[in-house]
Amino acid sequence: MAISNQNKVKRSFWCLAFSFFLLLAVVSTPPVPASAGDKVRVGVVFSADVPYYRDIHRYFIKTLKEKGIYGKIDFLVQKPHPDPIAWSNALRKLYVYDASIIITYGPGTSETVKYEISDVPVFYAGLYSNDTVLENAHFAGGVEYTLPVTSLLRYLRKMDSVKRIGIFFFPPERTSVEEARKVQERCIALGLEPVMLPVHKSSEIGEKLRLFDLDGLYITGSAFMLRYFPEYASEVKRQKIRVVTSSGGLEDKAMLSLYSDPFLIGRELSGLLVGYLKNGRKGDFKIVRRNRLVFNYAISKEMGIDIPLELLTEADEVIR
Amino acid sequence: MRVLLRCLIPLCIFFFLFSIPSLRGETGKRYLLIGLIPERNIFRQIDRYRPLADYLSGRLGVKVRLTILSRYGDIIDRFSQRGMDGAFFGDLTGALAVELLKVEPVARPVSLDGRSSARGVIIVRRDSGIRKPGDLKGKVFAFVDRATVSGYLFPLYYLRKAGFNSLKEVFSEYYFTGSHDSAVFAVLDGRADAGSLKDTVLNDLIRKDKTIADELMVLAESPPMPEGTFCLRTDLPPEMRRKIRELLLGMKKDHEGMKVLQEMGLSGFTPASRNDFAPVIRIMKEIGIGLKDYDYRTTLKGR
Repeated sequence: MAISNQNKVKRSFWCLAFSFFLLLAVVSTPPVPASAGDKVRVGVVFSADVPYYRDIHRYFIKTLKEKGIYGKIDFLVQKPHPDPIAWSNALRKLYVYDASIIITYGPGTSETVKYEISDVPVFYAGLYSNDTVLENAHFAGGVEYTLPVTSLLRYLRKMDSVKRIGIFFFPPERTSVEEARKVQERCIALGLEPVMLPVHKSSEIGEKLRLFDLDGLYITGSAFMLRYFPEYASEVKRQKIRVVTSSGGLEDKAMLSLYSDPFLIGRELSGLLVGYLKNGRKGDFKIVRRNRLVFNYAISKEMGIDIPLELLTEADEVIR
Repeated sequence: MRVLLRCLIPLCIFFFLFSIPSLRGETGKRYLLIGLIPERNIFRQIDRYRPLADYLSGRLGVKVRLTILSRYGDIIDRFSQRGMDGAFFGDLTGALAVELLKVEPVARPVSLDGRSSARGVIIVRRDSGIRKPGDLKGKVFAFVDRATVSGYLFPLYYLRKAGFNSLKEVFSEYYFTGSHDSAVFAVLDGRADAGSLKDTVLNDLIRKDKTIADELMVLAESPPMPEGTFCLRTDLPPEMRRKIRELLLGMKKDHEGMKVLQEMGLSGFTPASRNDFAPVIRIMKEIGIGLKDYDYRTTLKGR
């Protein structure tokens, strides 16, 4: 009996010692970074699942692979509908999944970041730059693009009988609004008649197309427009409206596209991420000033509209 | 008598045909072929020169045809091959033609503001932040063609003066637009950060669209270079050369000629000579390029 009591005391001692060491081990372990294994978890949110953002992301990944960084990152990709609530939800999911870095594509999600309370560093890409549209304090870095809207209008004006220009934009995307205002201002300077067309839901695109008698249409760099405008492309063709856009991904729907090169945006973004991962570098904001001009000759032919031949010679690409 | 006449008439016709100095005798063709370089968009260029060709045809009694080359350097390579009798040459192609093709400078067009020369200009967008040569580092540049001073050699000279020895050292990319107006649109559209061309084309575009001046600014300007020098091959009959020269120089005194000049946006033609190309030779010397061994052929795929 005495022996058994002695054993009990011994067992209790070892149990206590084990528990103490276990506790010590747990307490002394550094906090686990938000990573899968030894990989850094990077959350990516598209403002819409559209070809332009997919291209930027593709080139971003490609450059990371070239730099040998890709294998060290665990990506979580969200492609919500272009809607402020969906953007917010997508971001919050990434916070819940402990993403240690967040990347946003397009104006929608990039704007939404500002309303979230989190200290996770965010890098944005693929936004129309109008001086300082985004307050940089919210972001660890970003890649914007500049686009001379006058060039698009100048080309549009060269097409026959274009006078009244509708400007489609999505108010929750602030850069889209800024761009629309700039287009409006330039239209007036060029002697064109601008019609501001804000849309809040996709059906409004069709309604406004039917309501206004337009010669031309300017599609701003908006995730919402990129996602929903293609559904109304046949209506636009039927009404013989010349469409120009400052966004990539609509080349097969618009007669003329002048957009920032997604390859360069992706490459700059990868540079920012690598700089952050290697040296913790923050606060780099790049502006890409390299554009591509694409003419869709097939659409003009289908609509029976003559594009001056000299315009075709300027294009980087002519779709026939 | 009849027999004598039957023999004499064909004989007279034969002698008449072969005694007059004709183009047919010289080149085996019944027209004058004039070459144009693609300094502007080729469609616009042909439209611009067509009234002049018609005017000369009417006055010379010989059909004047125009041919436009797709690249600047082609006018040197194809001048003899295509049997051209004359051509409107640019600053560098003119110097090359005088040296390599031994053509004779005849006349130069004079613009409405009285200029018969053009300056090379380097242009940037006002919002680009590019203000000095060093700012061009890592940027994309749109040249016109390797066979132009204003559209290629002048920016080369400008960079050399700033301490850059090669284009690769400065630009992340550069390419050749093929025409001066395309260089303007490339910079306007943001497809290139900077570009070079001749000021006359830039001013012409600004005249038609004032908003261009709001968006672009000139970073640097070259000395005046001869513009659009009309040269003739020296084996053309001297009488024909003299007649063409007189026609061009006298156009402003002739009602019909004045009308053609107005259509072309010119005030007249002024005599041209080999010495006009001295500024071209000078700039080439400064860069260390010789006229005879200069590779003027352009690969358009610069990017």
